[in-house]
Amino acid sequence: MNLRSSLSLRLSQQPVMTLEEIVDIIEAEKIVENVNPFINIKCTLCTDLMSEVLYFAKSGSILITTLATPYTVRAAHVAGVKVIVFTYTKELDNEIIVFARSKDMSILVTPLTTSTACERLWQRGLESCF
Amino acid sequence: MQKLVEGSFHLFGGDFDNAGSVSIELKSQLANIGIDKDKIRRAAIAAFEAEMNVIIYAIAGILTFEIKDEKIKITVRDMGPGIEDIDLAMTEGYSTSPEWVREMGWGAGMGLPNMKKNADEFKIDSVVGEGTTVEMVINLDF
Repeated sequence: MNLRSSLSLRLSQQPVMTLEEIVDIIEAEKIVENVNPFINIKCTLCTDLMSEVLYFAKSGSILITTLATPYTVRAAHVAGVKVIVFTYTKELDNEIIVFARSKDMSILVTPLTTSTACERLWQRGLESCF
Repeated sequence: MQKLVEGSFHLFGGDFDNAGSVSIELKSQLANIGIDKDKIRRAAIAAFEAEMNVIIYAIAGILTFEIKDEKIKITVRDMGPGIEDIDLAMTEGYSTSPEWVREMGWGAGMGLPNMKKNADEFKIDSVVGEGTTVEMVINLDF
């Protein structure tokens, strides 16, 4: 996709993606899946700072982070994040999985770097939350 | 007079394992009452930031909330070091947190500004060597 068509896509469409599309774009594995497969994504937040999650996230954001802790999912939930993508993560704490299930959040893991995952979603029309 | 709903939670300095748990519980209680989702989100974010300040900087604290006269009032009192320069502490990006706290994803200097951003009314009172109290009010449009 060239820059012109990318910009055209971004201007003409409200980004709405299914979880399956996100999984495909960033080569992710689903660990926890939303009950509702149609997620209205507003923006992407790429950060390891929970301070930024609480400050910049909007309802319906995707968080892409390496920080796989229980307080990451708590902060994300409070801020309205619907999907968390963990990069560089080999094993997730069970507390993260149980909490995400109870709050209808999706948890994905991807072998991509944080910047590559964010760039791919941006190229498909998802704006940064910043 | 609208019926009063209130509650309180204890907070413990250094308890990163449970960081955010009090704010999650507050969010659940507000949802059970039937408050508007956006108001709940703002209240929970403001509470989360205040909760983290106790965990990062203080020995202990207490978060109380009350819903009265179409307002949510959240008060967090801590036994902490206090703040020398409140105006400086309210500056986005200003932080006195140690490096290890930043490595845990906190202490970016956004906490107090974010509390103010999410509250309709915000007050802070601090005494060096004694502690800090923040009061945040979110107006409800029933």
